[in-house]
Amino acid sequence: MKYTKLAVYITLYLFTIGIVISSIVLTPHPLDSPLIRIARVVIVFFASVLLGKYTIYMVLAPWFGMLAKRDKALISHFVKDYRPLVSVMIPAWNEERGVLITMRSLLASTYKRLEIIVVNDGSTDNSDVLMRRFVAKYDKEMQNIPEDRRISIVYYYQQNGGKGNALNTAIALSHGDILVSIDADCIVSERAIEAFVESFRDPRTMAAVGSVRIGNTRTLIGTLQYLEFLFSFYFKKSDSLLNTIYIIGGAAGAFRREVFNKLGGYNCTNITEDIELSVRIQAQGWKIVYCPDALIFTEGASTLQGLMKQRLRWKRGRFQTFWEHRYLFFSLDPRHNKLLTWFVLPLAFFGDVQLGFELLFIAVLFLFSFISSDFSAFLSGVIVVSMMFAIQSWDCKEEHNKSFLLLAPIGWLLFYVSTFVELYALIKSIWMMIRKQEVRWQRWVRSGAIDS
Amino acid sequence: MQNVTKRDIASIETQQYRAVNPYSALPFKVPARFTKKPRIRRHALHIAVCQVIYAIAALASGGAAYYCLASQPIYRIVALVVIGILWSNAASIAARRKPLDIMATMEHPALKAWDKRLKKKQRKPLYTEKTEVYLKAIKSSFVDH
Repeated sequence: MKYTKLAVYITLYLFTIGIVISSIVLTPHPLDSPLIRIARVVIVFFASVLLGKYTIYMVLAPWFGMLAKRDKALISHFVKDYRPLVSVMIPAWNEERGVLITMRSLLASTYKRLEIIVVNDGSTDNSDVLMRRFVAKYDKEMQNIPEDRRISIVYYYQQNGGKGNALNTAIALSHGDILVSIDADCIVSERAIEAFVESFRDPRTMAAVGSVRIGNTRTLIGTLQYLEFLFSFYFKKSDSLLNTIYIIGGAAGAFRREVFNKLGGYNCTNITEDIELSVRIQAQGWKIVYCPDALIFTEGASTLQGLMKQRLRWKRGRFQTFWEHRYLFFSLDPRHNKLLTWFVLPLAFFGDVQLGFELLFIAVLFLFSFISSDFSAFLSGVIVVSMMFAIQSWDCKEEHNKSFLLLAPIGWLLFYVSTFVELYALIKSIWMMIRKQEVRWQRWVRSGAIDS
Repeated sequence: MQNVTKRDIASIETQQYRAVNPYSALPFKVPARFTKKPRIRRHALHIAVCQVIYAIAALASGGAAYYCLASQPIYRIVALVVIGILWSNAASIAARRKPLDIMATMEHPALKAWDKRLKKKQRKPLYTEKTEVYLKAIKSSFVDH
């Protein structure tokens, strides 16, 4: 496996070097025909939108740290000591490989005013037995410690009803002022809960999204997902500055209790209940912040098939949510953030349209570059993506291996591979929507393979 | 006789500076522009100057790239994008460092809390497979808390 990965990286490096050398050595000769002119206009249009969006995000993101620190300093004048009870909700379905690791990482948290609520959603594996045994041991060991000085664990088994349903049960069982949702295959960093609480010192903050990293990076698929997450969570910094976060992932989301009191629980009919809830919060005009210190490692799909299933669920769920909340697109309601409703959401939709043609565009661009010996457009893409990649890897160098920086020059090709997966998910989700088929709670096999 | 340390001298000098304020002896109020500016304003000025320098450097590099790559419109645009992103990173790093200095000068409570957190003793992570051993370690952390 290690050598396969190395061979793939070497091939991608050689390919990139080939393009760089071709752009220097070969003399471009212009091609002109009506078909090429039309293709050029279409490609330039789509590429410009994408380049414009990424440029704005990359220029804004570095300022997040400074502005967040300033806000914290200002708020600390008014809110001196804020230590509310935090309820961590863990919905679990056939998670025997991961749920105990998640529990252990939470118990080692630096923030101790905590209650952990695990809702087993009708698992058919050994997770129920494992959890009952662990809770019994825990209660026995902690019997001498007063309840207010220790983390309490609530375990509940229910009939299978889906993730949203399990989370709603957890909300009903919780007592905390802040509710944190975490997947049962995650490892929570020691400071994560404390970091979440810090972001809620600001009374305007109604929800926070943590920083999720892929934990199993030993495989090529794992590395690919790690890079994707790196990109998307770096852009959350810009989204947080503009208050345009509309996805709070189930793996690392925190909410004030008022959110559920006013909006109700998760929508069980939506397959991406986390995205749906986030959009509902945005529809209220409430503040959602990004909390980079709330670091949570999750297990990504370890096979291509698993990755495709995951992306299908995300894509389908996002379409469903957009359709349910279509009133947000180009909304003039004064509560709504216009940047979100006029730019971010339409651009997200445009991104999906673009995705439908992206592979074709890149193939055409590739052919055009070879026929005309003009690699300038290709090389420009390589330069921009590599630079973005290097900046983002450098930004979170403390969290992971610096060797990821070496992948910067071939990052653009790795993303090209992920485009295939995304395109598959897009086509299949549209097909399933037409045929009115449902997507179930993700069913890929967990390997429990988060790197130590 | 008591030994006088460097710290004592520094302390005395500070007190003398406060006591012998040249402006306080004057029979009239000194216009604000003659008095020493507060450090926070000097820091803000420092940040602003840094930003201007970075902006000039970015514009100069952008201009140079524009002329050098005049025959290649794609490279011209990409050069401007790259310079814009690099400028943002460089300028924000400078701005990120300065507020810490400002807060240090003001002895800001947020900075104190930050230092305290950094100095906080790091507990060893609990890498053990045995649940009993793990729970005992967790129990001790609750007792210490």
